Amino acid sequence: MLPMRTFRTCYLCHCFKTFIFRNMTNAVSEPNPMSKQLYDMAKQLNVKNEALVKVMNNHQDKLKSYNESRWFELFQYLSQYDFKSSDLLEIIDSYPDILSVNRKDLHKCMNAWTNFRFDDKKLRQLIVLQPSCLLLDEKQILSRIPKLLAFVGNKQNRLLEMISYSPNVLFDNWKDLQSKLDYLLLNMELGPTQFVTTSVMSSTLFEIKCRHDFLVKLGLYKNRDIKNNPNLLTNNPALKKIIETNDKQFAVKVAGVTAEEYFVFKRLFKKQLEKEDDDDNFDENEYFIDDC
Amino acid sequence: MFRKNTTTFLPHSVCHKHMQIILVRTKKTHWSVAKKKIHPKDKALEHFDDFYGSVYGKRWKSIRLALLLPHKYIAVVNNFSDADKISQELEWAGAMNLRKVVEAYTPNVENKFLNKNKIQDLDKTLEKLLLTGENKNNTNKEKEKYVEKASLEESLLEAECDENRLVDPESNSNIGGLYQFIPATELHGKTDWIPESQHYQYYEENSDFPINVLNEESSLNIPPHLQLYTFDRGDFSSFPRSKIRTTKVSSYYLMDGGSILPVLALDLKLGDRVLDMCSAPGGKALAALQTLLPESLVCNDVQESRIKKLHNVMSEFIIDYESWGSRLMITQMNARDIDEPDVYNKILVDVPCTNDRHNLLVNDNNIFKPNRAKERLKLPEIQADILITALKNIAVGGTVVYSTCSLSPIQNDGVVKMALKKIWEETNHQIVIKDLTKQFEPLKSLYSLKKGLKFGQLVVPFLPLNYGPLYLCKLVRVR
Repeated sequence: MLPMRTFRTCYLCHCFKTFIFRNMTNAVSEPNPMSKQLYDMAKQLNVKNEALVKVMNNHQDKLKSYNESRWFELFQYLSQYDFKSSDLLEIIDSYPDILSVNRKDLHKCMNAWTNFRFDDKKLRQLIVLQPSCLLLDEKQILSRIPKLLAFVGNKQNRLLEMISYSPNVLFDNWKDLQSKLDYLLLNMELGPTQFVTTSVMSSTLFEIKCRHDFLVKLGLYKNRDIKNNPNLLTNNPALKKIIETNDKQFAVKVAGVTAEEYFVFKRLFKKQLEKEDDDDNFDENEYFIDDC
Repeated sequence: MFRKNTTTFLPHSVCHKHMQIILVRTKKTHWSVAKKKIHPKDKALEHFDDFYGSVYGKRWKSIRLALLLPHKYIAVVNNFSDADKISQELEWAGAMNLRKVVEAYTPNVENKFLNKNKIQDLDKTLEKLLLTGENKNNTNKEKEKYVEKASLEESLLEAECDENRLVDPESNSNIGGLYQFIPATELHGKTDWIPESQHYQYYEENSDFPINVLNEESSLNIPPHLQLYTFDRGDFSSFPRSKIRTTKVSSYYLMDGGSILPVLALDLKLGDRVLDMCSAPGGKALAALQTLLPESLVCNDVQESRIKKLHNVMSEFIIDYESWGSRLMITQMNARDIDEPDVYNKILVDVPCTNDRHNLLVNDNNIFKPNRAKERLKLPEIQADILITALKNIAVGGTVVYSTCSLSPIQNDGVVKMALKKIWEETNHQIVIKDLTKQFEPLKSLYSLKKGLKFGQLVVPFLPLNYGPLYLCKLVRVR
């Protein structure tokens, strides 16, 4: 019996190994013809071979449509601004369509960015983190950034931080953004240092209002007492915890009540806001009729 | 604010035919002044945070949330209108009948009770087997020790006085000291100031007089003609508009979901003589009338304005209520002065209280206004007095239901205890508290009831079941 068993296991092992080997050859054989070309490209772009292969594999479909020359153009242009080639590869990895932007637009955009005299290193970090910054229109950047700077106390580093957390501040509707910023500053009484390090600007105004109001009604979020020292720390939960959690986590861990209560509250709050909007509309209509 | 004002100056408003009110910014309406102002409702919230925070602990924030949001209603279908049609309409709107909720629960409970009874019987037989003759004698003796007299007078007759501690007023040894002037050595400001929550800690827990608390054995009975509708847990849809139908009265009365419980606890029977001591605005009295059971109902209140409210409600829901004669009477008296012993066998005592939910929403006439502080602190006393009057007037075998819409343990169990103590001291009445925990079990899915209260039941606001707050305690006069 014993030799039979050993034979069986050996045979099985043999089959298994051959099977794996076959598959491996399949896997390796496919990119093989590409590799020479890639190898040259990696050398010219001054990036690591494996890193390039990895990026190529990640976005095979998208990168096929772009010519090699686009790569060189992008690398050549952006390296003027001291971008490392590994950073540039990272940019392409996170947003491959950046290759479609032509040099003229890119130049205009970078010009606009450098115009504000941000700290070079931090600006580079931001662009690597959020390549979508390079897709913006020149005018958009020039008009939006001074407006935003006013809300963060004219501190450029703070603004860069805010953009890195929620890049949508550059292209969202300004009225929406303003109402959000107003709410954070006036109703929640938060300073710019507190909200620039969270992704609060990428959540909706309704969500912010709803969660804030919920905490206020629970007695967990209190506004400052005017008579107290303004530098005194409050016991309010951190904005990061309030915003960057899902509904259930927020209810249970931050607010310390059941999720059911928060869901019911959310529905009620929505209803209440709709009712207020309706009332406003109704007033306007009435006004209009009177006018006629 | 400023933006709104400027719009009134825009050219298109010039062609307006009628006058427009332009808000002028004065010192009082300036935002910084308005922000600094503390309203009575803020004071109420501050007081509750301090007091209830210490009473309810972690649960308070959940209650606070529910109190600050709109509450849920129960619709009492008006039997003097087209009741069947109304019930059908409410069901179509998605409301559910309270009776069906209770009925759905009861069969399960009966099974459980049967099992429990069996176990209890077994226990008793075991005890009998274990007790030998000697032991039995001992237990009898022990039992005799614990019998206390129903009233203070009877127990004083048998009591032994410790005469060592009596001070003889005629021995002059110490009186001189009382007249000497002793100047103040220290002045105390806020150092001795105690917040109200601590002040109430002095309310004693132990009692030095007998209180009988018995379990209510009968199951919850919703009178057959009383139709109650409400929406399910977490469902905040609003009721359709109450219409005036063929009989020219409104179709249903909306009231806070908790307020119906005192009426159910009264356990109305055919031919009952009912007194509602502080009746206005008349919701509970109306619900009692909708059972079609009481032989007579007397609604009483103190103030003229509240009596007017009562009249308005009655005329809205009852056809020609003034011609009812003695069956429905509205009287204006101070509830503490009512002296009609043994006339009524059901008395509803819905006393004036801090009205927690209302006072968090409305600033007008708020009891937390600084100039009403004395009145507020006197509330428990008034409440106890009213309850005492009710207990004095109730006929033997009759039921008194005491209710408040406050979360404060002083106004609830505290007042009941105070009243019972006085009754024990002053009269020969023997009062028994009925524990309604078992009876209200079928309502568990609809109300969040607080556990661990000594005498009564408390509906605690909880957002998905946002009723109350409502406290009620059922008292029955045995002798």
